[in-house]
Amino acid sequence: MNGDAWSFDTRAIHSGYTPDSDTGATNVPIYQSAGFAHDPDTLEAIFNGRQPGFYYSRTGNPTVAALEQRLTALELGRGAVCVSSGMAAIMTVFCTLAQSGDNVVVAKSLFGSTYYLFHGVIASMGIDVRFVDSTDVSGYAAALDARTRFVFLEAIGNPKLDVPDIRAIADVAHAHGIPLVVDTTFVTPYLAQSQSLGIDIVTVATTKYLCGGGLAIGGAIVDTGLFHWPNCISNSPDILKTAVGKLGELGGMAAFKKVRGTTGNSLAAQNAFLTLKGVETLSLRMDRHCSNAMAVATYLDQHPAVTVTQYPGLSTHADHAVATRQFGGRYGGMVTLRLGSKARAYAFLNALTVIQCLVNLGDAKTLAVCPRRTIYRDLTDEQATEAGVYDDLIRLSVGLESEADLIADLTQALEVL
Amino acid sequence: MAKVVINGEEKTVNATSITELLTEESVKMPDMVSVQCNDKMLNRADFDVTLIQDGDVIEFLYFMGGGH
Ligand SMILES: Cc1ncc(COP(=O)(O)O)c(C=O)c1O
Repeated sequence: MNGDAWSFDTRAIHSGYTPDSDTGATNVPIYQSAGFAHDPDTLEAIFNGRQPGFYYSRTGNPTVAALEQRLTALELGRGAVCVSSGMAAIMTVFCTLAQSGDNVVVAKSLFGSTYYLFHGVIASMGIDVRFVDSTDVSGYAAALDARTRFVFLEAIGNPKLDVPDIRAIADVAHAHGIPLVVDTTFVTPYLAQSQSLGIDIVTVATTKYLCGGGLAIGGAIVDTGLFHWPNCISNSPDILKTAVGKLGELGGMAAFKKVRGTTGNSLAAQNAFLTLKGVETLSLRMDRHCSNAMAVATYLDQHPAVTVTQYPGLSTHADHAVATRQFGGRYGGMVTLRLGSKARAYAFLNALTVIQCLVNLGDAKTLAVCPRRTIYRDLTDEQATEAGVYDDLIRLSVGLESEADLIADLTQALEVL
Repeated sequence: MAKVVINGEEKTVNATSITELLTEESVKMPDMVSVQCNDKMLNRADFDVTLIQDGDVIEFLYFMGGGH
């Protein structure tokens, strides 16, 4: 029951599961089982895809499958594959689409681990990673050639908070017959309808807003249904060629799933359950994240102790118009501020009482971190600057607390400086 | 009525198109199923217009769950 006619909130609550026919349970059961028993003919049929079913939770699990169907419904997409983390989602897409001798075109404004994955891991696998300025559409076009397998960017850069024109970059990728892969962690399907922006493949850290509450690490890959897989398999890794040969348009998903299963990047059933519960309240939470973040950014922007405040919702933000158009007048829960020096930034963090110093984001709690010497410690100064990270930069993940309490906490911490 | 082989099993079916066959066979999660007819992968857009003939060998293939 995917109910494509349902509105977003109804899909978030009902898609992917109908009450259990044996017990009437309305929550998706946690199928805490490594394996699933069948007679030998059925087992063979499931292995060969002739019958739907499960045999081993590394390759598929009913609780995880319910989350996959729900995420597919939220994106109105073709299918989803859940994995063990947001990083696993990116790596799985990578291993499926590219191989040694290929290149990929990647926006520079990236989450620290993603930057390091591309720079430190993938680049040494014989794949040329071509970094471009995330908002420079012509830069993407200039970097593409016949061996480019895909374009990758973040819908809102973490932590630079720049906003690329996704539709325009999708047009560039599609003109070359390659997919656009976008990490939508900061916006979620509630703020960005991926298909209408031209995104072919979504990667998302469900750890953040989708699960909410900072409960469970997880990730997902969604095929939005725009990309025609049978057209693009020449020179692809064998795993993709084989899957598309067997399954046609569903071959992309089948290949992601095969990579997940064989590399062991599987999501635990318990984490899928927690994420399903979180997804039910996604829109309510996102609305509050957005309104609280707007209030915090507006406050910081006028404060004399703050040298720079970044939030795509501020009319002074360089990409405000693009963000407004793409995300329906909502700008997410992430805000950054600069305080002039690392010492002032650390003094500010130490003075906070409600807001906690923590590297996660998308939690109900407001979280603050100074990323340069933590998440971005592996980057050179030049790389960090390109990623928009400075010694005095603080990244805030604005949570769901009362707006007044957050402003009061920021006020007293800024007074200490 | 056509005599066909579906996932290795001989059957006589009333369906005239692949779309009708998916319904007649009560295929679970039809959006998540790929269809091969006589070793040829069918485009989803053609499910309505692909007519079923006597002797067709049809495979419904799942990637969700454990398969593939
Ligand atoms: C934009 C973005 N993508 C991916 C990730 C990685 O997610 P995970 O920690 O679940 O691997 C993060 C984590 O902060 C992120 O912010």
